[in-house]
Amino acid sequence: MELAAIVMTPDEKDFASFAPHPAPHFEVSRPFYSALLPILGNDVRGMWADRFHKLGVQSFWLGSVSHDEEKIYSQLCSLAKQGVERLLMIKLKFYAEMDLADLLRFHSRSQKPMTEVHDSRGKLGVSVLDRPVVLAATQKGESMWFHTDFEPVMYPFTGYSKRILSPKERQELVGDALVGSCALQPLGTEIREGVWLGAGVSLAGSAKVLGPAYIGDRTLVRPGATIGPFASVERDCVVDCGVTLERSTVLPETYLAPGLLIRRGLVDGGQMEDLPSGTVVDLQRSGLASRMAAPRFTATAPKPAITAANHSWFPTSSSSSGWHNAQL
Amino acid sequence: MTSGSTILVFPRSTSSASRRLLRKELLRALRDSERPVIVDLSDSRALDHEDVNLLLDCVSLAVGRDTQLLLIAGSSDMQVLLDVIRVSSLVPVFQSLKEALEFKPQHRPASHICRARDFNKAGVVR
Repeated sequence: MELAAIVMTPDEKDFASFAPHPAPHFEVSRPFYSALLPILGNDVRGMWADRFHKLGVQSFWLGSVSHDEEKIYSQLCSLAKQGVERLLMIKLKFYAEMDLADLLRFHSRSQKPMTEVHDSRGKLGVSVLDRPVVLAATQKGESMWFHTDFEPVMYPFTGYSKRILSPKERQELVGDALVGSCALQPLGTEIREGVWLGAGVSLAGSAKVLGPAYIGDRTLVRPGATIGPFASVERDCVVDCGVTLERSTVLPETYLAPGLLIRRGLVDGGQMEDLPSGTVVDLQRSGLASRMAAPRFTATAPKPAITAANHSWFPTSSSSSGWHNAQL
Repeated sequence: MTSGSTILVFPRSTSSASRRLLRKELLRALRDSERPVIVDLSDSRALDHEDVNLLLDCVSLAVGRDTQLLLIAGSSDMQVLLDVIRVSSLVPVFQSLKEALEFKPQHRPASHICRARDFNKAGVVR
């Protein structure tokens, strides 16, 4: 049976927080916090690609849901017409340690054309669809996962899962990964117990890293800064002198000005979300943090690439259709 | 002034002349005032870098001179900003003017500070 997979980045409406600030002066450096951003250096899509590879998925597609349900719908229809008999659809809004083979076995045993994965808090965003479901939707001309006549079977998932679009849950995932409470591993070298450094990290002599902590590729930590415990600084960041970062995450390409105290926060460029209260503040206006220019990749700086297959992921914006076929 | 405190609203205006005036007033109050100085930030949703510098100057002056400086954040945004720049670990921060006015400083007035002769040999206050 030909099996295909689709990984979709979620729509803006799925983001519970980190939305653009309503104040007119607020400059948003990213449209919204993205599920595609690395977690402890790991590409979430890459992790899915590894699983598809192990599962023997013949082909998979990457796409963005943003503002265009119709595009996904037509893509699904064309897959059905091409003869794909079973589709594994992943909406990239969670991290879950899921056995996809077990999910497919469950789906086959149920003898129903549609299975949705739920955990104790509701839908996770993983579905298995058989060709009749997609074809029926084609005939109806509707976006199928909203208006299908097929009643989905629920696959109860009881393993480890976190909704990564919630900055709070994302930080919980980071904490769990740093202490080995889940299968996610920081991508770097463990220089001492609980302290991981990526490639090309520059750490000043007087900077402290209190484990568990992670510092991503090419990040610069200046004198007197303290990273950790339970802190993650992703790739290409600059943490300036005297910054203290505890139980927090700094997303890629972020600059933090001298002396800041970030406790239980998620910083993305010039924005910070205070995790306990959910308050989003503008640090850019006050010169306390900012987005840095993305580095150009050179021969010495590795390109972000998945390891599952001998091809690279492409940014979805580079395609006019917004879809990319990645043959395994 | 209210109940023996000097209250200044921060920042009142974005014009540079007003900013200079506010800076002058704030620093003078912190230098000269015998009473607590309350800086009310509740009208500000965000701070620019000049505001941050002025606030840090105020805190530094107040800490150096032992002047009681109290801040009113007014919003959770401002509270988070004050935490991030570490101001809230140096001076008391309140959500409202009422709370700030009700605040009783923990330290004793200068006249009540124990001197060396007040202690016995065991270090207990007589």
